Amino acid sequence: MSAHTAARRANFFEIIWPIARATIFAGAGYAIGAFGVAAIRGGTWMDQVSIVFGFVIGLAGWLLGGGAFEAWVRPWFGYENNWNEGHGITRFFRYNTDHKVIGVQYMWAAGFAFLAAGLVAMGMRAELFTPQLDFFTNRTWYNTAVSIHGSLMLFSVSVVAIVGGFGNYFVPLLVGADDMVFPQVNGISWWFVLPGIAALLLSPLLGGFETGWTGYAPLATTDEAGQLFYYLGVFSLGVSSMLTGVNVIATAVYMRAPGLTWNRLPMFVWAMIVTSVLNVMWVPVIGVNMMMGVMDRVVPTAFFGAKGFPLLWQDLFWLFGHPEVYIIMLTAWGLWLEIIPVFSRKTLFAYRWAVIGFIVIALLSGTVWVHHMFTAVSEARLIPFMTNTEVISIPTGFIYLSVIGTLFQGRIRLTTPMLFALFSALNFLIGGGTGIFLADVPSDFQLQDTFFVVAHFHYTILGGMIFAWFAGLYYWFPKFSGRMYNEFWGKFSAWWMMVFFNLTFFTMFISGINGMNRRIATYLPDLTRLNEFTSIMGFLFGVGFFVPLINFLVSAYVGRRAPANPWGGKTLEWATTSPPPHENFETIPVVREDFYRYGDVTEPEMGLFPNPTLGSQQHTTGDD
Amino acid sequence: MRDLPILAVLWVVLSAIGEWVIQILVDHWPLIASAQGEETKFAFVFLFRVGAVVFIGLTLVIVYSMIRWRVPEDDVRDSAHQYRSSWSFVVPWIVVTTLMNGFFIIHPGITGLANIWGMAVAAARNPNTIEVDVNCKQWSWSFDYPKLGIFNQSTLVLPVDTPVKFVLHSEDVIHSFWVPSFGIKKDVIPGEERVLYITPNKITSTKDNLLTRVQCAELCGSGHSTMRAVVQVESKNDFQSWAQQNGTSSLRSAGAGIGAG
Repeated sequence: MSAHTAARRANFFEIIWPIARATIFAGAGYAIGAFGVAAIRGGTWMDQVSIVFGFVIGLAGWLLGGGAFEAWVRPWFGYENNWNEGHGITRFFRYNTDHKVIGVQYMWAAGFAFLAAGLVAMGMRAELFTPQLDFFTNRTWYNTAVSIHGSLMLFSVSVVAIVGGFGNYFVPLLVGADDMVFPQVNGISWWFVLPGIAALLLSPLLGGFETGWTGYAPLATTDEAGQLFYYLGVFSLGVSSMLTGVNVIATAVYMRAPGLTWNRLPMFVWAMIVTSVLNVMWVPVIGVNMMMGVMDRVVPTAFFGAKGFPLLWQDLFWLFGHPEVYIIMLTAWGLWLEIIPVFSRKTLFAYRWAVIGFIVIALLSGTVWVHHMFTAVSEARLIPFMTNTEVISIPTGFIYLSVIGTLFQGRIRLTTPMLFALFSALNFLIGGGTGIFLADVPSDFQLQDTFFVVAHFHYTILGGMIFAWFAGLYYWFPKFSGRMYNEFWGKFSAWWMMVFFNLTFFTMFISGINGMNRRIATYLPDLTRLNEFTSIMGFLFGVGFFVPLINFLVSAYVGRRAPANPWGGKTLEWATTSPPPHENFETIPVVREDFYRYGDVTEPEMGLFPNPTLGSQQHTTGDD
Repeated sequence: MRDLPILAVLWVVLSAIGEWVIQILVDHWPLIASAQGEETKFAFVFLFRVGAVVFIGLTLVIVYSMIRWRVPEDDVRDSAHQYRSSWSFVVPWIVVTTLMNGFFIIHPGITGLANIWGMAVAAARNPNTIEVDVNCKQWSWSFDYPKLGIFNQSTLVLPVDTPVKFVLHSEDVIHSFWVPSFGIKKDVIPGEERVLYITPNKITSTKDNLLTRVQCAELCGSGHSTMRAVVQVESKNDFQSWAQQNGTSSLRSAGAGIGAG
């Protein structure tokens, strides 16, 4: 997957040893923490206090083993950094400070978590195939499956795949920089992801956790010890998001190429800046929340228990949790607006309105969280939060304004990335549209906690963000692999995913309206037919993910060599080779015009709002 | 530019078809058997009808563009129509979305809430309102009718067309009191007392329709999916005789217990 592979083929041991060493150090750290604490305070290494100390010291061991010892600790004491950042494929499995390598590391980690959590979802659909309990041995394991699926998908896929993957890889390229501002911080940030994924996946060893990804107290305080791995894993993933956020903001502010003014900034960079600001603002809230949850179990404090404030957890969780939805979706919108002009051969419509939309969404995102709690809070909080929630659809509409204005009268090439981007826009229309029913307090009183909600957020996050992620993967695959993917199988996967995604999740709206509540292992027989259909469609949808997986893996080795600019894009990443050299550009590029200008369009006047006279229809070139 | 008239005609035709389909769906809607439920259903159907027109319009433009302006994939010529923005599109867009939002907040949002709250206020003043204490714990429901002297019922029996004041208590974790056919739910927070007014307006029971059941709607642990209770909405006379039978016998047995002690 690299230009450097030609030099020397890496053997298996070279690829695996940094992660193997990190795992051994993590295990040793865990043992020191757990047994050490058990020895000091009495008790066993399976006590909750021991587990927490085991995890923290294990995490430190993991970081040191992954390369932080050579790259971070040695320089602190005046020794040279003698870490070998690897070559070829080995780079993707060890501490590395090249933003492109880190981007790929984030992508494979998110891809792994996506497949794992997807597999868990298949288990859930197998259970819901019949009304009785038959696939899982008991209801606790079903609830644990629900929890692991949700936590992995939200905390280690949705907020990691695009922000960590494309954000790291493409923000420096799009702004014409040679790397992120803080490469060492960037290198370490990825190492917080795998412990988070591992903690969530290994939580069944401690009895699992039954609270779902939302971790509501007081259920969480009485739950199995697996809940601790939820708190600690999510905290670890949050650290990674914050470090990436700081890096992205600093890079976009300080590393822009000459001439790359703010009103020429690519849409994906805008999306990443706004997302990163939200990450830096709100991830600390969830971090604090998780730590309070840990304290409730090990100190024990009583923040969230039945004798404390059970709703405090929900308030803090959603105070982060709703901005997180925008952390997830802004990245997808950035990708739409990056991809659609390229494949419409048309100037991006209403660039400034789309940017205003991003910023206003970010401003409002922290004022809507109570709409997740309409059935739990006092009446006084209903109307203000309903108002804020509905108002946020106005700036969201600006993105569709931009999409539709760009598509209209374009010359549309329905390549795989374009198909995925448009499918994502269509799916999100259903996801956002059904959000109105949930923002409206009266209809939410009935729909809250039903499958209607499940369908709604899968339409936004899976149909919206994951489809956009695939759009980006296909769009930039030639850039980061240096080879072209197979177009037929790309389009096949786009149509397959679109059809079976909709058949799977649209049915869930109907189940919800018919009284099927969320997070249930068994249901009453009146819903059998709907669930059988959903499950079969869900299995077909799930199988479909092997098509892109095989397509990418095979194409990375045997695909046709990609030219520097296969799509005719104008942003800076297409101005360098595929894949880019280590320093990205041979010389720092100079930006002379904006990236979304196609054909013969008049330059806009400088100013905040688009000039009305620019809508004129004078054309001298073109095909008609 | 024939595209705009074509789109307009398509939008009208498809919206008409959409509204017709929605009407069929509304005619076959799952059972709603309470006055509050009719409010929440009204809000849903109203948003569905208006939202469908918007949804169809936006989907139509995207799908129409995909078909109408599609070119072969190796054709990389720029479009002849280039514009950065257009006030004639942007201004109506912003005005319409803002007005629609304002409208939705007021109706059915605030008006629906006002109706539901209005019913609650009326029920609180109404001397005929039945009071039911709902006690939930992992993973069962029990119902007390303190004013009727009926305690520890596992079945929720209610009279039709009579307001009911549910006083919700939880012993352990958060549950949610939901009868799907009543069309409204409320979370039950341990350590707090929540009140929910519902006026059942159809005679129905779990036996007739599975939507008429008490169902915990907030994940509460391993027994969550089966945390249900049977509901019977009866005529006022049937309810009265049920209350007399159970009320007196419970009181009598309670009294007998005291006497024996």
